[in-house]
Amino acid sequence: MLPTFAETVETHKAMVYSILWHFLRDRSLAEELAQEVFLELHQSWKSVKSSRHLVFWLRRVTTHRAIDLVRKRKIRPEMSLEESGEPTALEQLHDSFLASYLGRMVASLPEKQRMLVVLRYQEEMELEEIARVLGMNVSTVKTQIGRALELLRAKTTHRLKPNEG
Amino acid sequence: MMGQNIPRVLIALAFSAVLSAQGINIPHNLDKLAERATESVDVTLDAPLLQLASEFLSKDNADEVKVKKIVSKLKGVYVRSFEFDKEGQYSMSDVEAIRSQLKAPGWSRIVSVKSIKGENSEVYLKRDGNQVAGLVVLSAEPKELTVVNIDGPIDPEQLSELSGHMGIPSFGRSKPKTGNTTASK
Amino acid sequence: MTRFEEQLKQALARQDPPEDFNARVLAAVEECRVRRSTGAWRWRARWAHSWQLAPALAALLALSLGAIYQQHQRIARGEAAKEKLLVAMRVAGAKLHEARDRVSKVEAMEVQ
Repeated sequence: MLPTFAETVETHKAMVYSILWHFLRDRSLAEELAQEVFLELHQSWKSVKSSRHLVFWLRRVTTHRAIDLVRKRKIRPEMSLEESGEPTALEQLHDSFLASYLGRMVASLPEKQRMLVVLRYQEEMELEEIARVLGMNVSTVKTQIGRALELLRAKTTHRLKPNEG
Repeated sequence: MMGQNIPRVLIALAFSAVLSAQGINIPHNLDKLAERATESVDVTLDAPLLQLASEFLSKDNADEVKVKKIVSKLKGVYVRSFEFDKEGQYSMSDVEAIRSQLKAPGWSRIVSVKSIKGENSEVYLKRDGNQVAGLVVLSAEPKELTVVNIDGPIDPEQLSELSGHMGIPSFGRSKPKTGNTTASK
Repeated sequence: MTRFEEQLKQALARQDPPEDFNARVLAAVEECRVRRSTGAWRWRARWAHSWQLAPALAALLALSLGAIYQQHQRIARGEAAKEKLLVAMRVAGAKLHEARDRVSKVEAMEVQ
């Protein structure tokens, strides 16, 4: 049996909001879009068949909305990988600050790779699931995630090297 | 005596004219299920209302353009859908009252699927020569009952394509696999 | 999973939106429902930027209040009918799709 709409919002708001936050790196925009996703869910509520369908629906609509918004508004990430400053000494030393730094690095990836990384590592989705949500080929998903990780690793490792000289 | 019967006969004739215009008759006892349902959908749109609704469909919305095309020649759209919080809230005689009407000439059942979970789906088409002149979908599940009656020329393919839009993800046909069949795009 | 991927997972851990998020979603849903049922939004949208027409509108209103009221009623009825139609199409499409999906599953089992 499906939960009520209010229960659904409570259960899944973190998932929807976090996908948007990690992708857009703008809290008010993430919040605004998350509200729109749930509003759209309410309008389509009758068509939701099961809890599993519900999660799929939310992920799919959230990711597509986020990507569409970025394309429409040509939103630039907070910083590009090239422009990113040195992590502070604290960021280098403390994992929690590294998390913040990594989050910013993810946000500077090209939009498709960015969303792939978010779905893989925030949602811990299998490649096939990600492919279904985004309407992509599984092998393309795998390749693009691999490339995104290489990019992130290269920049993060470079930034975290101890200063020389 | 005759004088008293004439008004009743006229009412009965008028009623049956409405019924035949509707295609099938949705029994009144079905509407009473709304009292027991946690959620219900009740749509009755005859030709004038369909035309009015169609005027308000947006030309800028691709889905509404599709809907406009689908309903352009329809005479009526009738939906009753009930969701219950527990099983046993409706009886099969409620469904049988509709099913029996679909044995009339012109109607043919093109889909009938029953599962052991008690999920039953039936699709009926009414034909007028080579044309489809009506569609009925009956969906009976343990906690949900839905009747859709579309009166007029309708393309079921166009209608089921709408499930891929309007915020509803569409699943491709299940492909035969070893083990479980799963929906895939 | 590599150490780097573990760090990435931590960096991308889910976070809750602000505390009043639920309330704002439900309020938006309610507002949407009220707008659709009264058709009032269409009335406001239609006239919101028509202040320049106010004098002419006042004269028109004075002369044909009944006609405008009827028009408003027609818009409200039309919007309500449209919403009902869209709901009906969604339900019909979903149920047809469900039936087709069930048939596909049966066919798939028969093939096996």
